[in-house]
Amino acid sequence: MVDIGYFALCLALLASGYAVWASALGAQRGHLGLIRSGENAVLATFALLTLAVLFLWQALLSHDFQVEYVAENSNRAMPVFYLVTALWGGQNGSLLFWGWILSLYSATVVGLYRQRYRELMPYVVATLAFTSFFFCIVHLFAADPFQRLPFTPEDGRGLNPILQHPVMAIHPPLLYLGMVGMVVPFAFAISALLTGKLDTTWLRAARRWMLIPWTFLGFGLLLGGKWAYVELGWGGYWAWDPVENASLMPWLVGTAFLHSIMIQERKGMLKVWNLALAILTYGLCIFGTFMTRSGIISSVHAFAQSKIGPFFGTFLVLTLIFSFGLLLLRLPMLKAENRLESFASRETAFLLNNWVLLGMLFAVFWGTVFPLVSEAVTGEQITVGAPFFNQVNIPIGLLLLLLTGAGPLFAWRRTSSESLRKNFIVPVSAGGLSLGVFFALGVRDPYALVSFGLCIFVVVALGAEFHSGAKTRMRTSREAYLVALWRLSTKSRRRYGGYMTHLALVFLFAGFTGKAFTEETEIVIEQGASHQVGEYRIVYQSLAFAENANYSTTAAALALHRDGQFLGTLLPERRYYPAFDQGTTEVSIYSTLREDFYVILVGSAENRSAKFQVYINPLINFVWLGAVLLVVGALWAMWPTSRDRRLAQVDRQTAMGLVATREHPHRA
Amino acid sequence: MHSALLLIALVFSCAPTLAATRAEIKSVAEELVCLCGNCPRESLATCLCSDFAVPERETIGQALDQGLTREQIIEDYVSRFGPAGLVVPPREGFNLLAWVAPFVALLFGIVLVRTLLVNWKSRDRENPQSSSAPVDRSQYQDRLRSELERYDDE
Repeated sequence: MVDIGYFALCLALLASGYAVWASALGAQRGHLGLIRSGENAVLATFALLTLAVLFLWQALLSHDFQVEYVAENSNRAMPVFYLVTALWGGQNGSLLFWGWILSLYSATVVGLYRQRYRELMPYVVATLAFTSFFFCIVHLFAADPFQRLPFTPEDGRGLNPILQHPVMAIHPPLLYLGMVGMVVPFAFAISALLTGKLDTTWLRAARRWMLIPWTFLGFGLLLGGKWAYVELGWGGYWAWDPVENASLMPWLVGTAFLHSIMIQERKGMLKVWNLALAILTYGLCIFGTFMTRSGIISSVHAFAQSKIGPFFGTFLVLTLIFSFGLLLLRLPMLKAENRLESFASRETAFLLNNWVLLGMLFAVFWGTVFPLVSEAVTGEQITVGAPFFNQVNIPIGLLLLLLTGAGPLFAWRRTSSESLRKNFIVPVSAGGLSLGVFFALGVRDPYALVSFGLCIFVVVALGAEFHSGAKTRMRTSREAYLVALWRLSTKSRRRYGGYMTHLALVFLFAGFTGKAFTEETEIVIEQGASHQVGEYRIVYQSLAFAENANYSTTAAALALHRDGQFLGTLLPERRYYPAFDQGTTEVSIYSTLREDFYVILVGSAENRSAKFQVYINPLINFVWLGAVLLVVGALWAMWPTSRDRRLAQVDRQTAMGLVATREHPHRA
Repeated sequence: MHSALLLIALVFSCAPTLAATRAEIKSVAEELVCLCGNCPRESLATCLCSDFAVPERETIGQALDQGLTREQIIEDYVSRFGPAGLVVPPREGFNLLAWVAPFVALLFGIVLVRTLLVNWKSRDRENPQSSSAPVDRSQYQDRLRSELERYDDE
């Protein structure tokens, strides 16, 4: 059966190659038949890659250990759930999954835009298909998921134990949906450059197609943090690991893009910049893949060193040269159409937002690659660990938080000094007052104090925006306050969805700031004895052993009390996976909105005592709440509105006009 | 089966009695990374690997008991494992660039933003659509689109 999977990959290579050729030639000659044929080839590529994925799944589920990937990433003891997730547990399978998601995006774009963006679509399809073509080359010549072993092992090695966690079923697919999806805005940017149709048409498509992967990527990143928090057992959720950074970088640039395109839409400015950001976002996705899958940088997530590095390195360099070269050629067509009317304007706020985001991007990029740079220059290996990223990024992050609240307070074009005073006075006063309150409550860490103060500033600023909008609607439409608030938010989804994501950032920063107050302690207790940790008292009740075909486990039972009240039983575990000769830490957490009581079983001694590491992590749940709000805000902003339907209607009319012109040129 | 269970019991050794407190040891260990080769260079203060991080933390405790300063202990660690043992690049020589470059880039960026804003503000208003220029249908479509967008975003 796997031979059919391999054969499907070969056909997908041909289909995607044909799609590139047909679409590009069709666009050049204005040949509608070729253009449609190219689009159909994209759909065929999707169908073929779907077949390949299904056959790899079939091999995993039927324990076909003659397939190297199956033998390396699964075994008979694994539950079905992890056999399914093993598709993206190893290098070759995850690349196939990556390529399949790419083909899914491509097919969706083709399916949705049969009658829209017709001038752009041929080169959009060519760009998407070329990327699929490249991935098919990688599947076939560098990372064959159907590679056979010369023998059939009795059993497989199994999935890496740290990947055997329910979150791992969702986290990688979300990241892939995010990273891969960035190819769509890139394709529209390239098509706009190739066709010379550089008005806001490409931007409208690119905005939606940036927002979708941006949401996936943001949520995927935070879900990865949740996984690290509960699975890696070090009390934290973000380690500035190269793979984390590789996903964060395109998200930062994507955020900058989503803001800066508004300047082009409204003012016809930043045309070059927006194209550059679309290219850079995609380039960073490929760079991240190259960096983490070539083995050049050590990482907790890194895949084994393989021969795909040169493939991705070459693809990245060629893509960047081609894209930026094209951008340079089109510079004369990308002149700004307007002038800045006032420094005190939303335009300035957005530019500053781009400055901060790109500054943060550089800091993360620099810290990630600096070990390579330093080794190349000095010959010595160094480490750039989390404290470096924290020290550099905390001040930049606080600037970003400030702009999150300040940006919406500026009007487009110009903000009068009277408006500035009126818009800022309440949020600034609230932020300033909160500084005093937090200081009085004992917060002494300067960064934490500033962060909390800014969180209050942003919340009040955003609240004021919702409130003033609702008040205006109440006056003009005679609606009740809540009705006005609802209709306001649903009518201008883009604006108020954006504000929700700003609020999500406040939640995230509140959660990040809580890290400054983490308490950590290591305790040794005998069975039956108790120990006080902060406000909590734990009683070590028992230790149990168990094993199943997949792993053996040691679990401790701890009764948790606060103020004399029983809160629950915590069961921290240490597991041992014999197939991998590797242990994992399964932490146990008592969670409230205020803080987490987080326990790790370090070990047990023969004298019936056990050692535990305990963390009290204040405000950490605000991070997870922020993740949810980020998704809600993004969905709110991207949900189709009546405006979208009207715009689609306009586009369809344009497309029908074009088609009629091409099919009956004499009527033109 | 029993031996397997013993294996997973992760018996922790009774650490030698140290005068240095856990907080003192942690404060030094936070400056260093675990180089066991299995973890992704986790902080020596938090890594749980028993074959490297735990004995190294004990070594730090013993060194503190002997009256060594934190600088001496860190120096000793670096002399044994190289500068890769430090959690951040040393702020000297070429590695100083790691610390300086992000802020230089930010400074460069703000100068660029300022220049751009000043240029934009001083630019004469361009008139992209001359009234005498021929206007085709697609221009009307673009205008309709942008006005629809503007109307809904107001």
